[in-house]
Amino acid sequence: MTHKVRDLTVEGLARVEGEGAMHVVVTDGEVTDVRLRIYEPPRFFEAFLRGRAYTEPPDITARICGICPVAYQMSSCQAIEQACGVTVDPPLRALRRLLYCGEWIESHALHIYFLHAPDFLGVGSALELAKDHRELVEKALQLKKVGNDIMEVVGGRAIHPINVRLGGFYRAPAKRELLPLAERLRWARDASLETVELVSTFDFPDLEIDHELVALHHPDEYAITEGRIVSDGGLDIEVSEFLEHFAEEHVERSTSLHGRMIERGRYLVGPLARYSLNYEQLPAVAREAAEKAKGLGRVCRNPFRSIQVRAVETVAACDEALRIIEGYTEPERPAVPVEPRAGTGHGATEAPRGLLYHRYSIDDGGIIQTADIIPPTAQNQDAIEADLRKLVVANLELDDHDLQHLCEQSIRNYDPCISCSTHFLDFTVERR
Amino acid sequence: MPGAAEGTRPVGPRVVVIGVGNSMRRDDGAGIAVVERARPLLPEGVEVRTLGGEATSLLDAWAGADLAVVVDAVRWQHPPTAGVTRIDVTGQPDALTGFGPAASSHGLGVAEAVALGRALDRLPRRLVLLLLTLAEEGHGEGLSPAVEGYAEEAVVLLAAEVSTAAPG
Repeated sequence: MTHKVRDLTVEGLARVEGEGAMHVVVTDGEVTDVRLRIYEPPRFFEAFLRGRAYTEPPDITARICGICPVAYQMSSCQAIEQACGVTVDPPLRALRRLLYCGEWIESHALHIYFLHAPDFLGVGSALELAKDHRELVEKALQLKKVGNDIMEVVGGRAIHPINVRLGGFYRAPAKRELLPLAERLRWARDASLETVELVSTFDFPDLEIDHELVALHHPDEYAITEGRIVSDGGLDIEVSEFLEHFAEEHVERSTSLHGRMIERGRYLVGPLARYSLNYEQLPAVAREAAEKAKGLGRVCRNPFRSIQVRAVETVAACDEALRIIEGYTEPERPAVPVEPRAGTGHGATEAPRGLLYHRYSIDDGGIIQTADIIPPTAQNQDAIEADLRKLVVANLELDDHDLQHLCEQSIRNYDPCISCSTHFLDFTVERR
Repeated sequence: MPGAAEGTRPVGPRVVVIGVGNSMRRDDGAGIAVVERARPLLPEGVEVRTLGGEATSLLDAWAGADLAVVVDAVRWQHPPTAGVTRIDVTGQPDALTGFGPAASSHGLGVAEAVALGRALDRLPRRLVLLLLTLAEEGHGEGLSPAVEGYAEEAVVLLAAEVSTAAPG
């Protein structure tokens, strides 16, 4: 028996926000193992939060991810407010949704243009894209900045917003502070519509996934900040029932837990699920764009087409942000008082990359007894691995370099919280 | 007020100091720790930012600056390696050529920010990187003893760098 082990390592200047590795074992020409190792921080944060004050999770959990801090803030606020029996005032709810739209615009613009589009345009990286398609990158930067600026005005700053607190905000922006964003959002909505057109010209590999699709659903709006948890398999539950239907399983090779639906198995959260389950709730302008998007349809099960879905969702987020700003009246108070009481609360919102669930138990003094944080990447890991296995089996004839590139492309479809922005930190193929 | 935020800057060279990292990831927070410690030492009008390090945010943060100093923690996989490394990106345009891509979650990192900035004419007039070598990369607050050992040197280097261009 011969063994071939190839170890490709990214060199040099490396950030450590998340790390990942993929290991493929091929025995006698057959794929015998495909393992995606992901190192994720929520386990640490769950332990770190125990014994802390009930007011702290929005600030602490915002540091789990540099790209989607608002998602962590909103899910944690929702959970603790439920535990304390508090409902925020409608204007504050709208302001939260506006902040979340900013994060969606920023995150989606970054992913579409800087991470995903290079794969379809035949360039190796965002840097090459900047050289060959400068106008696209300039547009992407401008679009992303609109999202950043919403986060700065509403959240206090774009990275790890500091204006968010339980019950609302430390300070509610004045209407005159929001109005300058309106004109830019009109531009951003048009730019997003052009983005839908652009990405719809890409060639998409054929791939249909059969995972159960799971997302929040709200009857009156495209679900971002709240809703019931639904699936295309008929699930329809309150967020507080999450743990009765979903479980995390420990997998030895990973510090993250793999999410499974109890007695149903693998499932998928994120743009494909959100779009397919909430098509009717898209704002009209986004739905029209989706209808014109070549090959997209009302239900999307091809993960490579997630770039189209993200583009449609960017249109929706721009339109929604504009609607909120135009209808904004300054709230009477920036936050609803949240007094501690013993109890348990659940929160779920739609992070750009999928459903993010938080659960906290606090005592009557407001001290956190337990915390559960279930991020989209952990929920999707089983589905991503299943897709990778299919892909590797179908492309075994490729050399390691090309196989790695194909796997990276596939993983980018899901934009998971691992080190896969341009290359894996560690990719190994073992051919026996 | 030393290390003022935007909006209070007097007329003169625009100097931006950017601490990059995550203070909940041990030594990855070194860049942020260094700029926070240096803040009282910085002349009035110097803008101080802390960022996660995502490339396009860096492009925005240093846009239009006469001098930008980025302080970050790095993991070198080849020597040299300990202490603080200073790279004058403007004076040594090839200094980052050998750097690999960032292993960030879902973004691009500092090296890509420099390359993108160069390709899009979005670099500050002068850009200096102060890079502290990581020793511990786990979760949690606080720097490792090793990085604590040279963080003060980075603070001094940062203040000296800024004094070459700062107003006043």
